[in-house]
Amino acid sequence: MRPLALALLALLAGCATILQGPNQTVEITSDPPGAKVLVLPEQTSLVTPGEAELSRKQIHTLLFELPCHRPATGYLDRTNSHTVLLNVILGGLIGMSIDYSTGAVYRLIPDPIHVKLERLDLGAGADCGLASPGPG
Amino acid sequence: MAVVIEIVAMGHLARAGLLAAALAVCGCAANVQTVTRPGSPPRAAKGPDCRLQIHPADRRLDPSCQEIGDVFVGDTGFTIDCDWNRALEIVHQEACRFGADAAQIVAHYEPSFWGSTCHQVRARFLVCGTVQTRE
Repeated sequence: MRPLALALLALLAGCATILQGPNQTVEITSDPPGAKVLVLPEQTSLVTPGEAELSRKQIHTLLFELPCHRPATGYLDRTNSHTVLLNVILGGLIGMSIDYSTGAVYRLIPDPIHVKLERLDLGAGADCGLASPGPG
Repeated sequence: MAVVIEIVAMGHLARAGLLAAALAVCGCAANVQTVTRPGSPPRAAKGPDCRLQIHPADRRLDPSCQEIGDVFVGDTGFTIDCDWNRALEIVHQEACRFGADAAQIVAHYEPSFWGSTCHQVRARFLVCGTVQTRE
């Protein structure tokens, strides 16, 4: 009976890891769209609107850049996901330990993340087009 | 229910070992994560007499202030030393370690039933020279 109980517990362990996995797909948008976003600490980049698959275990900082606009920063923080409660019912201490070690117990917030970029007053002649093409 | 089964099924030694392992992995201390801005010039850490201001989130600082990094003070799931004063103390320590002139709270997550029992904080580190506030 005892090995059976332990085997059952092993199967149930890590509810959040099984249900939602260690990564979260986060929607990233800006106003106006078309901003270049550098995601830290991964150092991956994308253009808004876009999505990034990010580890739930760590926090992320998003640096937004758009010509003629003041650069802005977005912050993705982690908070406990409600799946932590499933561990209390099903997974127990083993499940909780697994979920915390993989980071699956967390949820990144805010999702979606939206950043409003402030336009700089550079005068009428300012070149606010897309990034200049490379040589050649 | 599973917790009860586990506790009954395990011997005293196994329970103590599991708890010790969990605490060794996660610890009772807060989880501290920092992010450095790429390209920001490295600055010398400030000594033990380091003093700097931690500004609240709603204060508008001089736009010339440069952000050199940020910190998140969070919960490991086993954290117990995580009240508001401790969170601010960690922000202060990390800002000094970064060589910042000031720090500003970006987000504060208060303890809640669905979230964490800890005060969790995100703060950014700034280099401003003389920090000037705008009303």
